Amino acid sequence: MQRFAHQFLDAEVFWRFLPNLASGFAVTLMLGLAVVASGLAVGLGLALIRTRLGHTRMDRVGTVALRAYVDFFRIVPPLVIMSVLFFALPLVGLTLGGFVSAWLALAMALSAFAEEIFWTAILTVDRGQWLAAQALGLTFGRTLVLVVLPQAMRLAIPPLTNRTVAITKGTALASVVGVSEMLGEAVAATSYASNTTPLVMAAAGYLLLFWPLSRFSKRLEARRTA
Amino acid sequence: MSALADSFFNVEIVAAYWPLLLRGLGMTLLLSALSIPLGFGGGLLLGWLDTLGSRAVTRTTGLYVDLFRSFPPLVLLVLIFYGLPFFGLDLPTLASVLLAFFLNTSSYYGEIVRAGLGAVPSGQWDGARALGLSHTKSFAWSCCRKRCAMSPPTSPATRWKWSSSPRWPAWSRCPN
Repeated sequence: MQRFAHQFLDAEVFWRFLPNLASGFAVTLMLGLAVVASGLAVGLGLALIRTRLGHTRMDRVGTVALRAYVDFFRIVPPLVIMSVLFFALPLVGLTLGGFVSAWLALAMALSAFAEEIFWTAILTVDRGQWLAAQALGLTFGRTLVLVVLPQAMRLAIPPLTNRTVAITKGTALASVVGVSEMLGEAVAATSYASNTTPLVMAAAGYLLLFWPLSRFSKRLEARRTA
Repeated sequence: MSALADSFFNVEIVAAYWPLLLRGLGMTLLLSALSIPLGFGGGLLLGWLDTLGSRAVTRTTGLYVDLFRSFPPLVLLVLIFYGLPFFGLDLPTLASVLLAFFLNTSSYYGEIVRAGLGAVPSGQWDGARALGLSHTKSFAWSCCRKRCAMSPPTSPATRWKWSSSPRWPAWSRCPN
């Protein structure tokens, strides 16, 4: 027990590396917020576009393109996309910073997952709801916003939170492209101090980051169900 | 452009290193084949516990999910692999990796199952009870229901439903 505490909960190491971890926390928070905001917005947008796609030839091309985008970014690990953006694009004359590469890669991954989740959630809303809204004279847009999306959200929120948490934890990958976020700082500090306390600190930091998110999504879900 | 091809699509490098990658792929497949079913089983267990209707149990499963969802897998791996020996529990490498992945994956699956069951109309439960099914059987029945949102594409179990979903009805595109 004594040795465990020394290895994982060392006070001296804690204070020495707190500033590094704190700055890493700020970077993770910023990157995470950027990814969540843009990823969810694009995902919802794509799902809404998909509801407008039908059977004409142009629409089919659109559907195929959309599914190609979604499947591609769900399958390819964000780390690969991130390093291609960061290391390969400069070779063809387009230089992105590490932060921007990480943001783009994670946001595209999140948008792909979010599109699928929003889309299935929309599909599970009973057809009668659409018909009833139509009968009441609501336009397509109003049906979507007033009738379908509120019901779909109840279903979408828990898996969305899952994905959001998982992808936001992917900010840890950003250390590969030279962004000093929390887990990267912690791993560096761990090898520097030959002591795993910084990793425990990083875990606490992630808890601090995601616990409120979990609570918030549960509250949102409870309000929708009630 | 040739610099790009040279550092990203270099045939010589592919020829030299593909056996290494193949070995890595084998390990990835093995870990996935073990940790996904284990995690899904754990998730089902969490979902089942959640339907028992006990506040204390629901609180505990909620705590479990929120805790292990928030931990980066790397931290869990390090804590288990390097931390447990200090308590006299020396797990082999594969076992500690599986334990870490189980804690992580089951928390995600637990949330998916819980959300899916939330979308099953309560009448389905009442119906199952009225037919004399036990609680566990009602649970299994509800999990298989069409409306059960195990269908979000995050879950492979109901991938079939997604792929066979009907086309969007034509009238929905008519402007009013």
